[in-house]
Amino acid sequence: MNELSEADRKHYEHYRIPLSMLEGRVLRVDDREARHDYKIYWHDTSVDLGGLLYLYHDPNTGGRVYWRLRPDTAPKDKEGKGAKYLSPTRGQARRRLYFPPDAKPWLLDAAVPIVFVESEQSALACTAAAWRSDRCILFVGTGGCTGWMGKNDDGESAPLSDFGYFNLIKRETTIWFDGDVRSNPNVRDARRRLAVFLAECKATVKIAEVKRDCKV
Amino acid sequence: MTVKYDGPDDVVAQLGDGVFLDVVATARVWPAVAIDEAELRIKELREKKSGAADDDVMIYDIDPAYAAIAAVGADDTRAQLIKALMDLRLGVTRKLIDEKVEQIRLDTRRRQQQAKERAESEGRTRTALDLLDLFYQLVEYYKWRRGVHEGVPWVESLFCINTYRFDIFDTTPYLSYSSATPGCGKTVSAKRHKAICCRPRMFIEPSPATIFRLVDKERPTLILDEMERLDGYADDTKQIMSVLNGGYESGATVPRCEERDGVIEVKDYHIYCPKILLKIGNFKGTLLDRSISFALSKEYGLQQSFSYLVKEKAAPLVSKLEAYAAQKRAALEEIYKQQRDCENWPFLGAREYEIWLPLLLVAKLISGECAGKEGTEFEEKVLAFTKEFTGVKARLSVDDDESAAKIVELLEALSTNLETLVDERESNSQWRERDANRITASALVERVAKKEAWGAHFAKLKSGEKGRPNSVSSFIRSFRPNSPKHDNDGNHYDVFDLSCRLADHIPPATEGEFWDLLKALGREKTHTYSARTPENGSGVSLGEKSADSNGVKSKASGFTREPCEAPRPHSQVPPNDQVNKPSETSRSTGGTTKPEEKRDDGDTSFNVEEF
Repeated sequence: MNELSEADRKHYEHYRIPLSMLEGRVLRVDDREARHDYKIYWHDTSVDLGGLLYLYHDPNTGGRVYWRLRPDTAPKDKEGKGAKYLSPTRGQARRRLYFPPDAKPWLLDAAVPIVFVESEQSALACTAAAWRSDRCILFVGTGGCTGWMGKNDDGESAPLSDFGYFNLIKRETTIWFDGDVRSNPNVRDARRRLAVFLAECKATVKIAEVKRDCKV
Repeated sequence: MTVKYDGPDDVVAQLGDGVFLDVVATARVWPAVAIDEAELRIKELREKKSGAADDDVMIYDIDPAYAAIAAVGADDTRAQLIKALMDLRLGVTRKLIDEKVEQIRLDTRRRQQQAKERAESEGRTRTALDLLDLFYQLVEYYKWRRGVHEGVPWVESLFCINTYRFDIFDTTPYLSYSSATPGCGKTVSAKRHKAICCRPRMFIEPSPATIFRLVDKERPTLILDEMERLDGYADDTKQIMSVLNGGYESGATVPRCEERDGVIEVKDYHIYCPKILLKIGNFKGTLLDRSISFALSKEYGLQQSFSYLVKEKAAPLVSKLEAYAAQKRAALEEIYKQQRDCENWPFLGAREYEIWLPLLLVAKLISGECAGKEGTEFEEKVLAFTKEFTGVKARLSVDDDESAAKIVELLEALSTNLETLVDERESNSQWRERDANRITASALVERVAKKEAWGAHFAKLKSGEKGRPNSVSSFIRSFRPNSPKHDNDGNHYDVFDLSCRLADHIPPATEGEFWDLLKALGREKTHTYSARTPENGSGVSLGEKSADSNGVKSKASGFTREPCEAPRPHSQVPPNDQVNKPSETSRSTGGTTKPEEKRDDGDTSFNVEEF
């Protein structure tokens, strides 16, 4: 049950993510499970929400705290824009940052750089790559370019309290968002806000980016 | 070959680990990226304007440019970017651009600060906490490169933990460090505390106003070094001593008249906070009374404990202590609430109970969170050190307190009679009527004349030897003994009654055979707190009681009260429900400093400037 399909395994092999890393972190769910068990809402019930479910864990306790669905077929909204990821309905779970496995010892260690990436898959792929190279880098998924923000008590958008997990003072912190950062002003704006926030937390902020079309 | 990719995962998949790591390694620092972004936004606007015909009515969206410029941290670069934007002549003035950018910066900073605080606060709440482990780490921290008695780091660790939640309790102990000579490690101890205690403030020679205004504003852990400078009778010294004497108790205030909007009103400055006092020479009187006292001596061959090393060691512990403060408030309040209904630790006198209670309850919280032998051993050790330091302080109090020393000498002088009375009591029920139970002031003079405290006292008498009996009688009268009988030899005091009354005025931990003799004669040691016995159903060990309502594991506890032997005959021990509440008398002593009509310089929103 909830086991990854052969196609899923090949997909992750392509990204060089070991299957052991996915255990208990990525599930394959069908439409019923997504809607009922994981409270994923989409107004059009005729749309199949089956897909891959990324489970978020608290880095200290290991408990499951949040989840996000990547449907196999991105449902389209009224404007025809595809919803690549879907989150649980409000009240079911509070938005969190995505931590890769075994992140706990590195949270407070200022000598370990942090890299913020957008997607859970990026966090896993990058962590696997760092492990292969024997490098200590903590990759954290923000769950979208604005996923690092939530509503504060005044209803304003503000950084998630998960940032309290880190020791950010004088810590090398890199933001590496997806390639559309140059073309999409919203992504750029979100990246700038994150950079300003991290700088405010006394972190040494860096920006990593690669052009979408890269000649090698 | 051209590779298309979207996110970092595509880089890993398509370009390999090497390129991926290079991208991370060559990431540009944010300030440079911020400037580039701002320049890009200005460039876009410039291109838009240059592409428009002269008669076109253009509407420019300048907000992204404002936001990008506001994100630039360096003031001079930001000013250049603002000028570049103004030079585009888009219909906005320099003043408007400045205002917009500044507004964005202020909003961002406010929101980010709130988020940062929320993140820090929630981070503290979520930090996994093993209290016993934290305690032992603190003990190691305090022990590191110091040559002190084994119990000192234990008490210091409990004190340090208490500084983070002292506001829950009605009293807080002071720690006092003294040494006979300089160079015994007092300042080392102070710096150790400064690096780890909650909101530490370390001063030498502060003014009284500085202390009470600062304590009122910050509730710090106040560390006062070089206290020997306060051994005088100057007005400032007296005021500081009053603040220190009263500040161990919650609710103690210093009133001052202050002018606000042309109206003079009285403002109460709270002076309750944990304090650490250090001096060459001994602490005496009330300050000693409110302190847990450590006498330091020289230690050789210890490595230097550099401040930066101490700070390095303290940093991870501070974050755990902050987590403790955030997470354990409710549990500690619950334990304290239960404590108000029952009393423990009969070896503690009234004042000692007040000052040790917060530390013992912190210890109880720690032991309650660990099951089995570990917690029990911890409790036993804490109680052993408590007894030890209480005993040391009792000796210091007697040595330094002339009255206490005189009492002990009188009791020693009366011991011969008490021994006889113990023998008499076995055979004669009317033993209190025997001659051995009568003693005159003159007889007492003979017995105490060669003792230290009375000898010094007699030496100062202007009336010489003739005045000695009167002097002893005068001293004894203040204890209100039973009416002495008079005859030609003078006043005859009831030895047993007098001994009981004298014994009531010295710490129970004072050494002396007279305690056993008095007990044998039927005097219950009155410095015990009355408590119900476990047999009657209400006497429960504290460990078990806390398990009921606090979720703390139930187990045998070393913090178990002993059954009480008798109610206290005199009035030194307050009733059960008042043990932790300061009496009106002590409150007024605590609050204490005389109100002044004169307004202190500085207003309420003051800042302390350290020199």
